[in-house]
Amino acid sequence: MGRATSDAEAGSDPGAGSGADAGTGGTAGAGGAGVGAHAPPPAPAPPGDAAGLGRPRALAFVTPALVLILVFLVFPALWTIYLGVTDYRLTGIAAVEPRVVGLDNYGRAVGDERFHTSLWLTLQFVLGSAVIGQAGLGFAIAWVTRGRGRTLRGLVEGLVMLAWILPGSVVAFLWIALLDRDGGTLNALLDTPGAAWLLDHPMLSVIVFNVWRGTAFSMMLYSAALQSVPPSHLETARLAGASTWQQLRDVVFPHIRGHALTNLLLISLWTFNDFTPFLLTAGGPEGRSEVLAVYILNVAVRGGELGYGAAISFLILLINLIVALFYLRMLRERRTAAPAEPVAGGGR
Amino acid sequence: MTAIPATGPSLSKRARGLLPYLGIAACALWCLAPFYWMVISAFRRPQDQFDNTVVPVRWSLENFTAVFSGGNAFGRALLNSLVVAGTTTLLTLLVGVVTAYALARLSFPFKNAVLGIIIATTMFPGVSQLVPLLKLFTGIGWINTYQAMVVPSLGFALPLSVWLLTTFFRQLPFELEQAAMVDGCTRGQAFRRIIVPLAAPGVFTTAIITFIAAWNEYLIALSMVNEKDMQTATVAISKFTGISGFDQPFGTQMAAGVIVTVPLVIVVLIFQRRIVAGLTAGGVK
Repeated sequence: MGRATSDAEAGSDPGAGSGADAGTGGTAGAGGAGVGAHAPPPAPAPPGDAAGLGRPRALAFVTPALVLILVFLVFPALWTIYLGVTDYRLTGIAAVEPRVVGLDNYGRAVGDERFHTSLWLTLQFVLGSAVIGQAGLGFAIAWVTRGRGRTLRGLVEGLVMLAWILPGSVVAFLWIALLDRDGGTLNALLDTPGAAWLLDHPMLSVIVFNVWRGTAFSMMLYSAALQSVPPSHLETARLAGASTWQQLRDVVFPHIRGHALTNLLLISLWTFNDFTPFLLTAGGPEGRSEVLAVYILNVAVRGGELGYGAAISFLILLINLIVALFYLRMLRERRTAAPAEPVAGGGR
Repeated sequence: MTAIPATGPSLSKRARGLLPYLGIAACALWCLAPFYWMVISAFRRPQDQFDNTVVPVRWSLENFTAVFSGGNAFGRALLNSLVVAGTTTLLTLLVGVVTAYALARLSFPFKNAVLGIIIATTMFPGVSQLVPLLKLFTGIGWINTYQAMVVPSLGFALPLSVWLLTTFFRQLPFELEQAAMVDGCTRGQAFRRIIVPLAAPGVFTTAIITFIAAWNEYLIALSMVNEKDMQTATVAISKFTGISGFDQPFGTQMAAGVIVTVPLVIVVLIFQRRIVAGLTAGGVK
């Protein structure tokens, strides 16, 4: 099962990942030596250097991307660590000459009631909207549409994707209009005039919103994963009288375990760092929907306390790291044979 | 866990067969309803904006005119979005293709370290980059410039693009280049004439995904720019003032939302299979 590929386009690629890396140690040098010469019939390139570009040029190829990533992703992350131990502010004296205050910011966070609330809300947000909502609903749709006609699947896929590609600021206003107290569509539909959803149930609104918005990715991933479950296994299970739940537990889940974990890892991290709830409720009322990403924005940009904001940012980075390690560990437990390649994802 | 309810034996087989379709229909409705509401609200008259009829009582284009009226400067914002997203996509592809090709085809020291760094950075929370980037750009005078929006987007888009493109390049057999070179191509020609055309679908998918992400970017665009003339569309929408200047201009915002999303919807409808394939390839592998 290890590296079951996803779909037709990726299907022709069994284990290519390791092919490029394997056994190149000795041959790389030979490939590098032959680069300068422009001899017309080149000897077949060694496996590690099929394009015959050689080491210096290969490095030159990779450098621009690395520099960009280092300067605009890694360096800011490191700087966050430094800023986190200063009293740097957006305005005032501390904006010009920030003082190093050691671990004061972290001490403050540990004692900050607002930070605790925010952490707890983020946990609800991730569990409720990502793990239960997006992954659950995404799997349900993928399971129900599996094996149906191409048109139907395409249609459902397209609709779910629609919610996913719309700009956050647009969908936020859409939902504000939908949930509005006086003119809101939901109140008209449910016949509950005057129910202020965003004020009375801010966290619930934000969670439902995020489920609506983010289900597409899980659905697409599970759809692809379900194709790797051999139909004959399901057929056998069904003939043996297994219920749907038994089929899922004993046939499907063992097959898609890797995909499920990958998906959970990605959507957990995305949801954790998602700041779209800000557009819906701005963290209010009274901080009752202030998830960590919104908290940072409120503290750092709106409150001007960049140093404290940076310290919280670093804490978020650490939490992300822990979450990622946890999932990757679970992945590795099963995939000891295949190189446990982590995954990339999109759609921040 | 699934949408299929526990169906008791009392249900007829026919009803059981229908249930999944009902589920699918409910789901489609759930996905479509807010979007439908946006389009419909955009076409209402401003004075009817809180109506709850399924179809506008009176259709009107007033909201669309309001979007482009004086104070909102939405045309300029659209142009800004196009410049920022377009530049980001082009640069991402340029840098990404070269990097991915090297990663997929060549061996060099620290290759795995390079891959590791690229993967690790996809997990960085965008918000945590905000403070240092703000400080950096204030320091070098980049506030209210295009590059202040393009370069961070580039940084965020690159890891995913490199990853996707590497996957695509690895699917092309090495023998292709070798055969081309045996036939007299130089290495550069082999890359340009054989690999680039073959990888075009992958490059294209990456382009679409990058463009959508850049087009929708909000946090950086909001923080790095405070001049109205440099706002991107997503930021501009959130700062709209109504026709009267006081009320929440839902109608205008919805109309602007329609304008911003129509290009995306068209792209998605046309290239749906591609996008799905690209995303799942990136996510599953």
